[in-house]
Amino acid sequence: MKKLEIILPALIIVFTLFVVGAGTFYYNYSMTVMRFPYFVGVVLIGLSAWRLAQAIEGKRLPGEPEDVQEPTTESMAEFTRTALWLVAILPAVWLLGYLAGIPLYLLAYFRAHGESWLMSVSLSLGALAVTYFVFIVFLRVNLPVMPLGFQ
Amino acid sequence: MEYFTLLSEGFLRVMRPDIILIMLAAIPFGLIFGIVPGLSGLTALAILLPFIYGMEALPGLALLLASHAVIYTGGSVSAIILGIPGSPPNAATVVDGYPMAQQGRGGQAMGAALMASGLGGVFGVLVLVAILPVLEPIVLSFGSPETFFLALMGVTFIAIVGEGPMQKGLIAGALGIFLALFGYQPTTSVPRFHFGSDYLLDGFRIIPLALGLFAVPELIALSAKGKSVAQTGSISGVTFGQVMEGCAAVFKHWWLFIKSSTIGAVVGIVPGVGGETSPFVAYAAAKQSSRTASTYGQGNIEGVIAPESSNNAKEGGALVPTLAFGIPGSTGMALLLGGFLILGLEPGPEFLKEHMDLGVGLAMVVAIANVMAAIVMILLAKYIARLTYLRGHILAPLLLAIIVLGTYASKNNPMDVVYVFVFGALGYLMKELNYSRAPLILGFVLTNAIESYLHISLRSFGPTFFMRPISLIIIGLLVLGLVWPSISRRLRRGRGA
Amino acid sequence: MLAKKMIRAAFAASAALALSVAVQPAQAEDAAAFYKGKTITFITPGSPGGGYDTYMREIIPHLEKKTGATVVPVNEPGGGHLLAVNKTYSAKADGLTILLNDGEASLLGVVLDVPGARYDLSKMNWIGRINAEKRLILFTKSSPYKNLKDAIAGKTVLKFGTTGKTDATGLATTMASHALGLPTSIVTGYKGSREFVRAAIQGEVGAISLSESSALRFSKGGRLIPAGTLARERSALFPKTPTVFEQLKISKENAWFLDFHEGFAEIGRSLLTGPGVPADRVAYLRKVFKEILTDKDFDAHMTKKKRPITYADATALDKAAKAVLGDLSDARKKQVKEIILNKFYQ
Repeated sequence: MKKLEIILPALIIVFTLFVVGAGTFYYNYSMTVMRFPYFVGVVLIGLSAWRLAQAIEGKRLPGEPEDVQEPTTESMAEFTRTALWLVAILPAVWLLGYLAGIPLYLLAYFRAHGESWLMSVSLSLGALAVTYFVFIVFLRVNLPVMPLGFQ
Repeated sequence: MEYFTLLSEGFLRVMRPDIILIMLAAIPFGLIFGIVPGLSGLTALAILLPFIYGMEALPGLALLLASHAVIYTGGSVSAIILGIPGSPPNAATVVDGYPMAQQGRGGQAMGAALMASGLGGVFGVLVLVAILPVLEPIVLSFGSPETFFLALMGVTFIAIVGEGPMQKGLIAGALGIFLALFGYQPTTSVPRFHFGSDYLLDGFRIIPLALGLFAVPELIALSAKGKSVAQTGSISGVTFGQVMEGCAAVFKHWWLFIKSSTIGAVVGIVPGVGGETSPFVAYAAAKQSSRTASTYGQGNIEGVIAPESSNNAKEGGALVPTLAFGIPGSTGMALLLGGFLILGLEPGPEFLKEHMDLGVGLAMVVAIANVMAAIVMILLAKYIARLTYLRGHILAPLLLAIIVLGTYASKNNPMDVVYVFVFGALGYLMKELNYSRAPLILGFVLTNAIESYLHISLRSFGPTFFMRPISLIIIGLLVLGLVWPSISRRLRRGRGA
Repeated sequence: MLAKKMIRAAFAASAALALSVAVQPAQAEDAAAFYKGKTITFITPGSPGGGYDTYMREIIPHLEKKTGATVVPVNEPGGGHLLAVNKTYSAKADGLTILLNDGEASLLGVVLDVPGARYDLSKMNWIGRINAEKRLILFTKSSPYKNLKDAIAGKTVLKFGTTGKTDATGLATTMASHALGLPTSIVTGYKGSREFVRAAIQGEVGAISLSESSALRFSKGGRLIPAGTLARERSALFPKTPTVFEQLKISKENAWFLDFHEGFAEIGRSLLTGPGVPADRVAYLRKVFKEILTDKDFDAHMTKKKRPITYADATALDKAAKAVLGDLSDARKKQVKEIILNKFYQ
């Protein structure tokens, strides 16, 4: 996992530097405002840099598994497919509204992953019922039901 | 003797048909909100609030309290069987509870969690009633310096909480603290790092953070493999016998239970620290003093008992500042306070003088609700565990839908839902790379208290603000907590020689 | 030629007048008819269970009854109570979005150029005020001073507890401290007034500022001592507590700051719609809310709930808002900003 091990500490360092930099040079926050971010930022960057250096060297921490496989192209493709399917619920509820978006998303998901029509439609209809009766009627949540965020 | 009189009077006060009926309705409501990740306890309370308009004081508050008191009881179940905390404070239970489930010991984990929750809730109430007559002096002895040191003690535990290498836990904790710095700075009201976003004026939110960190990686795992949780681990059918075994473990570890519940009650009593931290502090304290500390994070039942007892005990503790001063001892109490005001009551210094009986009645509601919820869940545990047999391709999207709906319902803000996925990406990376996620949550919830109360303490008392009796005690405990493992190791070696 | 023109003009004018008179009642009917069966979004910056929320939920059934509309409550506490204003400001200009506004926060947002304030109050329509409260300064038993005169003359620092720099407590404390010359040092960051009441009783801070109803609640038991009312007239809840004007000789220049603060307090919890809403619908809403808020039974009901109504109409609100914002030259604004944000935090 050598390559992946580098990613997280590197990302953290970049993120922290960006945020602290923005606070200092773009927003020009006062010292009172930046005191804590500076302190925590230094600690966070320091720890992450230490970890990054170890990861580059390929050093393993105590308690970590020995033989960790590097991700293959196949596993990356698999992960991407899975992640995209999960994230797809966001455009579904935004484009179609929650009331239509959720059951239709579920229907598409179940069918694409090999479930029967009976199972897919029943579960989706169940989800529609829960969304409507539990959330909209009983809990009186203002769910956006119109497509594209209209009121 | 007066103590027991108070308890029995309170008990009788609550034994009214209308109150019992209300509790019977409220408890399943609270349990469901607890079990289902995405539906938070705060949402439950916010939804119930309008219903209490026009009700009498005790039944109205019983509705709110009974449902809230059992949220974490329900939340422990999803933390154990799905690896997804039902609500943020249950994140500490995931650390050992989920590995237990994957090792085929889910029944024991659930039994332990449920019994610890039920008894912990009762413990919190017993503490509350014991100090009811002296509530005010106790709340008044904890000022801003004491709150700061308690929060600081919580931060020192970041290194201890969570599985995986300590160095990674520290990075996670520091990252959690850094993320909490976004949004309004408490003393200047300057919104830090909002980058032009209205959402970020108030910073990141705990519910999308906790759900994203814990739920999304599990959902990815479930839907990637398509198999059920039971198949990815080795849950081979939860039996009632296993659940009872887990229940008995709480009595076996009675000292751990008492210690953890006490921590919960104390953290609840001090309002500024925030109830969310108590399960992590209890977990860390348990690990620090355990002989089997090395197995924490790999399915040690102590790692389930500690957070769950403190989770429920803290609610009894949180009632203390709420009743004594109208200062909410936890986020749930803040909404409960709203309930008081809706019912025309005014918790505060004079409240208990006139309404001591109501105070005790409320304490009893919490205790009874905890016991009833534990019994119900213990009986249902093995059926709920069957969820883990659902195919991943069915469970994952259904859970995702509930999480999306529940997250939206909590504040009616679609950005919350988006951030579940943003933090989900972070949570996935952390899980894959063996960074413990619980310390991140702990750091996140403590930061505001640390920054605010340090500032207030310095301005009110100057640099010697720590020279106060209770502050010094807390500092002592803090240092002791840090050095205890090496001391006990040396003592054990000495005994062995 | 001229006479013909004048006759034509007079005819046109009277025709127009007749038309407008004829059309007026029909338009009023249109507004009422418009709201029947519609959905009104009622936004409040308060969280569920809080003061704003309670007022909103108590009003909703009456509003629904009078208009025939369905009213949907929305809690939007974000952005220091300013996101609710933004939301209302940018809503569709059809009169179906009403805001129960935090007057102090929304005005301060303008005065201090707070990030996140994206509205122009002068373009919004005031509907009516629900409640406004006077503010008091209170000392505690452990304060270094027992009254304002001693505090002004004293050398020991007077620590005031507030919840934030840019909210009502910060505003009241800074304006009063500057106007009266108090030796104030502000300790801010408390989460809610109950917390700084606790801090005051514990001796962490020596003085606080509270709204009159909160002051009444918390001064029971004698632990908080009302030192003075920050207004030109005494508070009805504290008839025995003199105003700062009665106690002290305040120069015209210093009085400006106290009146400036009182202007904020005058707005209080008030109702607004966004810009561009048709005039007839605004008029209709003003009429409906006036009926609700001046109804004796409703008033009694809310007083029992310790949420009193102190109604003021749109004209008064407009006047108060102009008094606060209109009187602000650039130099004055800079001075006010310095006092509110910096002076007492050294």
